[in-house]
Amino acid sequence: MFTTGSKFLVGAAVLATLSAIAYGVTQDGIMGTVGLGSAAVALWFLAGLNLYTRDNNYWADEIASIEQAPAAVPAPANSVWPFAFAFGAAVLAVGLVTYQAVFIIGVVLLLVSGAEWTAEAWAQSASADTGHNANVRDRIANPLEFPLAAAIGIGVVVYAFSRVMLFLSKTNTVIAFAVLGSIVIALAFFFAYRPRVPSKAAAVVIGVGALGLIAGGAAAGLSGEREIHPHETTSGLNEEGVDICTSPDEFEADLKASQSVSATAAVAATITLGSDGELSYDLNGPSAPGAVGITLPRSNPNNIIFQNRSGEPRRLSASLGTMVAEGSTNEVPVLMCTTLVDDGGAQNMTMRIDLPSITTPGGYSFFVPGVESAELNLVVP
Amino acid sequence: MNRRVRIAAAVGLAALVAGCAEDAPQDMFQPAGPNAQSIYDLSVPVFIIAGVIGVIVMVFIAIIVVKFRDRGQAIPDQVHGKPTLEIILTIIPALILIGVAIPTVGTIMALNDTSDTECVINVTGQQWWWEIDYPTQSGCGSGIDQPIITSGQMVIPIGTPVLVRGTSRDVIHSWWIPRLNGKRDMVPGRVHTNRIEADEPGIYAGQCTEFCGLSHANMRMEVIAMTPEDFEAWKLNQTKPYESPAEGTLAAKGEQTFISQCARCHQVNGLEDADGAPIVSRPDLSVYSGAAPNLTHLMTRNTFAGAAYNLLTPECRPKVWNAPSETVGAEYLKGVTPDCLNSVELREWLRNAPAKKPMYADPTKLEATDGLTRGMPNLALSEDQIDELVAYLLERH
Amino acid sequence: MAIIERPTDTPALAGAGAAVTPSSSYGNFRRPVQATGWKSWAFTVDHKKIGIMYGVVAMVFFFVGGIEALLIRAQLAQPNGTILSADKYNQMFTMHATTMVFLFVMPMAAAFANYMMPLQIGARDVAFPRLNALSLWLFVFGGIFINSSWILGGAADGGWFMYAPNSSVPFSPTNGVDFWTLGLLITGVASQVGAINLIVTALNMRAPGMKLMRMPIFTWMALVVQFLLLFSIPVITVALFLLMFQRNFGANFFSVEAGADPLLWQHLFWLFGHPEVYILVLPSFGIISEVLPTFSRKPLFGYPFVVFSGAAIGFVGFGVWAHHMFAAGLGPISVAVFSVATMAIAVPTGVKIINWTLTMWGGKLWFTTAMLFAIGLIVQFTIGGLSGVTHAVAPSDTQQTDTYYIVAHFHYVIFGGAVLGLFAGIYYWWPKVFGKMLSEKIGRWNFWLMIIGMNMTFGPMHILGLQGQPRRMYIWTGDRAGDGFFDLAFWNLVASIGSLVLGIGAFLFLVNVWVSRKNPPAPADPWDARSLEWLTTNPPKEHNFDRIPTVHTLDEFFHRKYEDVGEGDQHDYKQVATGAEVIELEEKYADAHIHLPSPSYWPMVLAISLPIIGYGVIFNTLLIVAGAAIAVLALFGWALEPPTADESEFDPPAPDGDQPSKELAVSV
Repeated sequence: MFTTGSKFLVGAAVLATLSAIAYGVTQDGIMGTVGLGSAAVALWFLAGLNLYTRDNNYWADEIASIEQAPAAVPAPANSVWPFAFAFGAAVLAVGLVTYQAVFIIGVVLLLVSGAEWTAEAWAQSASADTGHNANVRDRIANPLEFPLAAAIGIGVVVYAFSRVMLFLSKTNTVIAFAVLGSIVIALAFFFAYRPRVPSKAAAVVIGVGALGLIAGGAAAGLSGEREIHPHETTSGLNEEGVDICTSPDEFEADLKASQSVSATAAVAATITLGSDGELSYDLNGPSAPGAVGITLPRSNPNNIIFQNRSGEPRRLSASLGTMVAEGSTNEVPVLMCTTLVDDGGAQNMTMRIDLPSITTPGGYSFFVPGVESAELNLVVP
Repeated sequence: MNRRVRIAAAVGLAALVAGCAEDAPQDMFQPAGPNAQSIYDLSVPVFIIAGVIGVIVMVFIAIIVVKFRDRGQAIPDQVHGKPTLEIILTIIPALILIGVAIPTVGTIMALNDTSDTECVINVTGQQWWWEIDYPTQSGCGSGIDQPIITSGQMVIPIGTPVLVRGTSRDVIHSWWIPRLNGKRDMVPGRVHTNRIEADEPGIYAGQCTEFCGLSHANMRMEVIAMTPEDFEAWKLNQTKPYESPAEGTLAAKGEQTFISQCARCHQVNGLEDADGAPIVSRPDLSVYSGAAPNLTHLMTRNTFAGAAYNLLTPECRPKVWNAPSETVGAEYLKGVTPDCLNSVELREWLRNAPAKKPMYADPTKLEATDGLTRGMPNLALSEDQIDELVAYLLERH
Repeated sequence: MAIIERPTDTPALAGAGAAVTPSSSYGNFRRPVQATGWKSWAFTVDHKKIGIMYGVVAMVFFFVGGIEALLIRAQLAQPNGTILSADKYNQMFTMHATTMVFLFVMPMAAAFANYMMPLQIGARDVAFPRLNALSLWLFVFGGIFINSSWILGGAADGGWFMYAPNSSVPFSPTNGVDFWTLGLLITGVASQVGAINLIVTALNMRAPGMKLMRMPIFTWMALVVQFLLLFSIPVITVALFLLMFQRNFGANFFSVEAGADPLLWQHLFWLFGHPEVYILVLPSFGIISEVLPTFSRKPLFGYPFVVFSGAAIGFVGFGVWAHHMFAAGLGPISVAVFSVATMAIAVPTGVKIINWTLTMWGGKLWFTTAMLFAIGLIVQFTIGGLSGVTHAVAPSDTQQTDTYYIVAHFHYVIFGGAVLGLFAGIYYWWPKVFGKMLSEKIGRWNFWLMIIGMNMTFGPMHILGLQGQPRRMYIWTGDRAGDGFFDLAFWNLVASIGSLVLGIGAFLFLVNVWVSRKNPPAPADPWDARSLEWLTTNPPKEHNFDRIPTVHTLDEFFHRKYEDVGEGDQHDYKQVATGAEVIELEEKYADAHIHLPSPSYWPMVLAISLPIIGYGVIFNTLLIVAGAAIAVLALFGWALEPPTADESEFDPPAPDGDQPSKELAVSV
């Protein structure tokens, strides 16, 4: 009843099913079960197909063809897959004793060449007509080959290109992108307007380009990325027991901070530290000299831009009353601040304040550590 | 033109003219301030041009339909078009549109210039009401030293360009007072501005016009424009210190009920607990948007719950809303008096708010927001508690 | 046009001796080759049957959307309406728009394009018949999927524009938005696949002699629409993907608290949404550009102008999306630029109206129902276009947007511009498709009730909007209605009554179909028509044309019937043959071998896998696995299947000899 091929597949399917059940019963987490279950479904499906096609001796049903078929079937064509399969096995073995990446490459090579070999061999038994058989192979294998090859190709290009871009400095990436883009467009125009250019030339150009990209990507990847500053958060900067927000000094966090302003579309207020050591603020609309302070709505994220024009690196801090620290009964001050901003720089601070300023005697305020005169009342209704 | 047509036209025109006097309060063709006026001045000629072109096209089609209907004439000449005519007929509309485009661009730029404003008012949309707060500033008449926070109704002095700075605490809302200016979406995480100015005292109705969920239809607002003197009086009243109800009154019981039931979310400035510490509401612990209307001066407003319901009885409402511009400020400043209180709807609201206004207010069904409600939940108050609360709220002037 | 010949019966062998290549190559299933019965429809790849099914399903959704509209108007007839709850109302207007846009107008246009495009260009089928079937079934299953939300916890309630963050889980906790998102992704695949199919068809499969500038105008407009779809569907797909990940997989594309900007959604949506408007109206423009010349007995006035203005609309249509966002706070420069660009698009639209009226000018007008609908379109669309100009003026638009004035405007554009045109097409091509005439008498009632109904419904909405009634409100109150001539209560009631009239008018179409089902066969050329689709029998044979026509002029069919016997500049057209005679001549010289593709199960199987994956995303991950397994199965089945079925699969087998045999085909 079972053909040779289907025995293997049925066996594998049973194994996958049992392991899925075993995994589901014994292990936590659903992903393993889903993976094994999927494998079981796929293997049962393949086993079914194989049984249905009787190991693809289907055509043997056509007695007439067999009777009329010549005794000698054309010899199988040359094939690269046995070599690739063996090479994959070797790579895998090397990988086992060296690096994991090499091992994975070996596994992939084994899988790909195995699948290709199977498809090819299967197709060659379809009929005595080699052209027809090639067609059979394409129809079976192309639906998998094309999307996978495209995905891998795109992935390689994207990965290599991103490595190059991350290696270059911020300014150079722009230049590199512009130059590369122009070259690609120029070449595209050239080939579009010169249809006579032999396709080999185009292939050579693309091949060289691809090689260059991969080589560049590998080189850049090995030499590492440029230093990228994280956007430091503005609250809870507390280093070694010293609250940064009350100190004018520089800390580790300040070194890592980027001073670029991200949220310019939604600025609630811009607060500027002038060279006179005074804090001034600017709301969208009429400025308000003589007012008691800046008013921010409650329970709403407010983006405050701090501009430093004082000549010294400074930070803007906000004193927002006190709170009871978790796990203790001590009242601790609630502070928020930007990192140290160089002279002429600016930084964004997003504040959401849930309690009105009347809850604190004396109210809330903005201040600049190290500059006594810089203080600005903050009113939250 | 025969007689019947003429009579019909006359009746139509009369109805039109008569109708204009009592148009809907959100009529965009009755500008009441320079911003809306500039939009009106720009759009009316466009409407006229569009109307004229429309009539020309229709008449042309009517002529064709009558003139060229099949009367058994010969197959017409198979003309494929006259390029000159085509080009001329393409250029004419293009020229008209260029004529429209130039003033349009000018008006766009002029309306976006906010440098001349003299008063800043923040509006914050949330489901489904507007919070309106007056930041401390030197503008707005004699200046504001203590922030004023109210909801649903914005009070502005006439003749003063006001900058509305708006944002939202949850979804996108849109601020629109048709008789003062076009609408502006208020987007969470962004601050958008809208300049308004009223020429005459009056109540200018508005409505949230960006679909914002379940009770979008019940999210309204009004701008009350009053003379600078009236506005100063209003400001003074909004910043006056809190007075507890007299001992032993129903309202005094109401204060305790308010503290136990309402003060979790609703702020009444100046309310103190037994130790004399201020009672601070924490709507952010119960409501998804993190805010609830401030009720310190509820009865100075004449609508509630997102300006969707009247605090005034149907008898009293027209006295304020339809008051002539000389007295509207004074009428409004009277607030809600006990005999004018629309206690029916206020009680319905207190009894079961989500039944009155659709809201997502059942904490047990709100997995997606960790049990935080959107809108006011049903507090299951007893009738006695409702009586006390109404008495207490009635004193919030 | 990838035609793959099947292996010949006596293959050239690589080796010596005689080998036989199996005739049925790899498909192990018997093909559904029945010519009658439900299988002949369900698994067909014939563009005509697919077109009819597209039309029927779209009509079903038209009435579904219509009922939703009637419920909306019933709710708004009175202040503080109680017919629908706020929640149901929000679902109702969301689904009304979604249904009408995505499940009626777009597929109805696809129905016409599918059925008529191959006929108009003298082809036997579209370029990729099985892909065509896939498009149809994806649309059908996608439509059912979206509407299944009604019984699975409530439909989407965020409006068809589904603005973020109101579409996020905290603000729309039911699964409605998920159904909407996934359903539109599925119908989006249908549109995209269909667009590629029809573009290839129009560009590659035209009959000999049919240059691009001899292509019938409907095919031209359909082609422009397919390009619009090709470029705009990916944009909405991206947006829908982001929304799906936001809602189902915890992404933060639209979460303000994570630093996102909700305007991202608006830009993505309207970058699709505005071209979408032209996707909806251009097919109808094409239809009436066929109908008007036919019933005016004149060629279309300024054919190249109409073609190029259509293309121009399609092109500029991608540069005006932000006029939907004039109140969104873009900043004055963007607003000014988009305001001017929007005015610019009015020019090519005006050119079309001018050309239509000048086509009728000097003609010999025959007022059939189709012609009435076409003239109705010109008038109604002109109103919609002109009110459109009033809100191209951005400051003016900040007053009008999101009020009923906009509702009035786009219903004059979409109903007046698109739907009337589709009805013109239905009446015009009904005898072509079904071989029977529709009753002209009922047709007139149908037309006039629809015209009166639509003007009663949408006309007062101009007043409602200018009086400040916003859209998408489940109730309105007497407090803000005013009184006198512009009383909102009065005009709301008029609009609601009008919607009833409109509903009756639309229903009369069904009555007409029912009454006309037993009419005698239609004559071969009932309208004295002009273009190539009439150069075959009514309804067309399965292979469309007995002989692939050779085209010499625009309006080829007309010029085969009439000859210019005038001298010099004097033209005088005399009829030299009737339509029936011209068609008979074609039959006489029928081609010997006609190859048609065979029906297939796989498009439907593949199409059904996507809704299963959709349900999986919403309800259970295991369903995703099951759906994906079905998809893989279908893809392989499809790939392994030869384009044509084996002779032996036909029952009875096709006879040999010179008879047309259904053997060969087109590859995908």
